[in-house]
Formats: sequence, C-alpha cells, structure tokens
Amino acid sequence: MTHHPRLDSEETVGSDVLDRGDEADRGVDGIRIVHLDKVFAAGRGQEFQAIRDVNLAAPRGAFVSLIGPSGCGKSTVLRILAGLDRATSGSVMVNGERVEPGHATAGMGIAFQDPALLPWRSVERNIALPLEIQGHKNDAAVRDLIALVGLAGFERSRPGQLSGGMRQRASIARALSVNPRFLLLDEPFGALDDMTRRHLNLELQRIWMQRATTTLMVTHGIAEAVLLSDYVAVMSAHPGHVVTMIPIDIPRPRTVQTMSTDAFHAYVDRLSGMLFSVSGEDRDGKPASDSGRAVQP
Amino acid sequence: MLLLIGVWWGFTYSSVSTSSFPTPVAVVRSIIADGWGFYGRNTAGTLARAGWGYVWGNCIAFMLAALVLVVPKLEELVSQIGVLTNCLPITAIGPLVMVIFGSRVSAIALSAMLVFFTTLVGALTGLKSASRSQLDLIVVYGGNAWTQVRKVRILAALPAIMTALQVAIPGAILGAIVGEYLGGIDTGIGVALNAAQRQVQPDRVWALSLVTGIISLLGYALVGVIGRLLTPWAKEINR
Repeated sequence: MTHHPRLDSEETVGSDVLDRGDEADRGVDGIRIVHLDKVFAAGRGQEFQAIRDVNLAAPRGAFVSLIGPSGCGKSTVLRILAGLDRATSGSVMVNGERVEPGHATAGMGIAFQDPALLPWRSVERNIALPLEIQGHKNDAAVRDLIALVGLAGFERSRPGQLSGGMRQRASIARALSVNPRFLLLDEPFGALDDMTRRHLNLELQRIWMQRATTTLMVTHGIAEAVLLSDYVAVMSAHPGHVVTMIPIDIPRPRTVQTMSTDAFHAYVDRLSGMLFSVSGEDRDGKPASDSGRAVQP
Repeated sequence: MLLLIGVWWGFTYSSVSTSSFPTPVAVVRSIIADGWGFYGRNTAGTLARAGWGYVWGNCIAFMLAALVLVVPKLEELVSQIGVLTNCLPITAIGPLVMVIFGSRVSAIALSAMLVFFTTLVGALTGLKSASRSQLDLIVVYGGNAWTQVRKVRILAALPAIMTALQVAIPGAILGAIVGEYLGGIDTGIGVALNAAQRQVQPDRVWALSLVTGIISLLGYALVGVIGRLLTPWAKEINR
C-alpha cells in the first residue's frame, strides 16, 4: 500500500462549510436541474425513459450526493451535467452557467469509477492532461496537486505501477487540475476496498473544504454519502426521478469518529429506509445500503 | 529449441531412411558446403521481397485503418476486405497475381497480402481499445474527436499494432517464398528450395527450411524488442 502522509495529521480547516465564501455569491444556483427528461431509443422503435422530470437545486459550494437503486439513472444525470449526453428536455445549469453538450463547461472537473488514466503517461503527465488540452501548462500547480493527494515521489511512475487507490488519487488530482468550480464524481471510490475508500473519503473532504467547489457525487454507498455531503438526493428507478433531498446537518470536518455518532447513524438508517422503499421489487439482489461497516460492491 | 533439435537427432539417428530424414550433422554440413555465396544470394533476394511486401502490406493496412478513423462507417467494409484477402488461399491466388503483375512482383504482392490482413486487424482492434471514460475525459475538458485521436486513440492502439507488426514478419517471409516458388525468379529461398527438391537433395531442403525458420524467428524477436521499447506500458495491468 501507499503512504498517506497527510492522513494521520488532523488538519483544522475552516470551521463550517456554510461559513465559507461570500454570502452574496451563494444563491441556490450551484446546481440547478429543471424538468430533466432523457429518453433513449431502445431499438425497433422502442423507447426507454431513463429519467423523468428530475429536479434538483443546491447552493454554490455545496457537496451533493446522488444515491438510488441500480439503473435509476444516476449516471444519466451525471453525464448530462458533464455535457456528455444531451437531455431530451429540461435544462441543467451549474454555477449559473448553462451546460451545453459539445461545449466544455469552463471550470468543470470529473472523475469516474474507472480512474481512466492513460497508461502510457506518467502520473504527472496524466494529471496535466486537462491543462494540456485547454492549452495552459502549469507545472507548479501539478506538483502541488500531486502533494495534495499524497502521491509525492510517484510523479514519474506509470499508472500500471500504482495500486488501485493510488490510481484513484491520481484521477482525483487530474479532476482538480483545472482548479474546478464544479466537480463531478461518478462513484469514484466504488472499486476500492473499504479501508482505502474511507481514507480517500476523508481526504476528499479535506481537499473540498479548502476549495469551496460545488460537487456532485454519484455513489452506491450511503455511509459515504452521509460522511461527505451537505445534501443527499435520493432517486427512484423506472423511470429515474429525484424523490427527495435531505440536508446533512453534521458539523465539519467530519472524521472517523463522526461515523459512530447517533446523528450519523440516524441519517444512514433514514436513507437506507428510503432506498429500500423506492427500490421496491426492482431490487436486483445488490445490497441497497452500505452502513459503513462491511458492504462492498 | 534445444529440445526440438534433440528430438530430431534422436529420431534421425535411429531412422533407417536417412535419405529423406537427414541428421542435424548432415544438415549443418550441407549449410557449410553450400557456403555464404549460396545462402547470401538466396536469402538476400527473399529478404528484399519480404521486406518490400512488409512495407507495402503495412502501408495499405495503415492507410485503410486511417480511413476508418476518419470515416468510422467504413469499418465493416474495410474489415470485410481484410477477411476476404485472408480467406483466399495464397497458392490459389498466386498464379493469378503472377498473370496480373508479372512474376517479378508476385512474390512481393503475396507477401504484402499476408502482411496486410494481420496489420489491418491489429490496427482496427487497437484503434477501438481506448475506454469510454478515457475518451469522455477528453470531451469534458474541451477536446474534440481529433483530440481524442491524437491524445488517446493512436497511443492506445500502439500495443495491438506492435503485436500485429510482429506476427506479420513470418507472414511476409512466407508470402515471398511462395511467390518465388511459383517461378519466374532467378534467386531466392523459394527458388533454391524448388531446385533442391527436384534434384533430390534432402540435406539442402532441410537446411533451407531451417535457415528460413531462423530468419523468421529473428525478425519476430527484433520487432518484439522494438515493441517492448516503444510500448513499455503494454504488459502492465491497468485496472
């Protein structure tokens, strides 16, 4: 495994998320999804409605998690937010800017479950890729990011020489390289073991608290969602729809100890119950909850 | 390799009819007796033809792969052309090629044909080997289809292309020899093989086959080494 030089040192960053930034700067327009529909052609004239009338609004700088049963269209919502898919109808705005497929949204960073590193590039050149595409090189920023995610000493390594957790760190660093005002995370820790996942959860919180980045994370893990989020949106399936959005009122920085508090468990239980009820007969045998103890996909 | 020679030795040692099954010693003696003049002349001819076939086959394959890269809809058509060339038995198409291109070119044409299919398949598979998320990433950060090609798809294709180029080496040599076999050429391993066969010189037939095999292997190994130097990441697990 890797070194986590920054994990053991408790850093006191800020006080509470809600104190960050200028009040006027934070209307409820960090993420604004209005009447979003997506219908896929399913062949032979058939259609498949992935999501129907999805609405979601969160303030700037908020960390929002999207949870729901498999196939509920979480990833569809994320792909539309990323500008990778075109919505059938409805609109999507992030930080007051409309997302248009085919036009890169300025200041957007993204990380997938698959780290999607380019295996022929070194760690530092992978992290520099977004800057390279956008035509502004910034070696110093890349070096800082490598240190930030705890990959110092591995700048020249290729992804194939790293562990899964380290690759995911590199992937997160790459998402941060554009100094994003909006961060999209598609189950970024889904393929990792439980220990690594918790470590990276807490590191992500630390990084996020430093940067005031509006973040949307799609996840299967309820505990992960509660630990990291200001708001958790719950989706139902067939067709996908946001049923409710719950604010998580637990002070930051949240720690491993937070996970054993009653408040934390109450949120996890409440969300588990909701997921169970929206899943109904559609559950496909996968555990609908990750209560922070053992469940892994 | 040593095991094979051992088996061969053991087999020919006990065998009665050493006339069609010479011992390794007899074969090596034949090589020495024929000398550098004989082998140099013949292998040089074959290697030149195989080399040109390799170049042409690869060029055509890469051009078609590039065409598919620009016009993805052509992929099915192009791979059908590839499959077609691979399905035609080379001995059947050889005389045809000779009639069309003349005997001097036929060895090169057959060699190119065998190379073409391998490289085309390798290049087409390789160009599809980039993952969805690797390509999405480029789009999210403002790149277009051409950025995807430059930054991701071509490099992702390299390992498959290098493997294809490696496998194409024995193909190039086989094509050249079959072409020479068909006649109309003065020198070459195929020509020498044909003559040795007609003059009932099993030692020389064996020696020529052995030399051809060694040349093929050396070429294969050489391209393998180049591939490893060019794509050091290819053998690493990346998931």
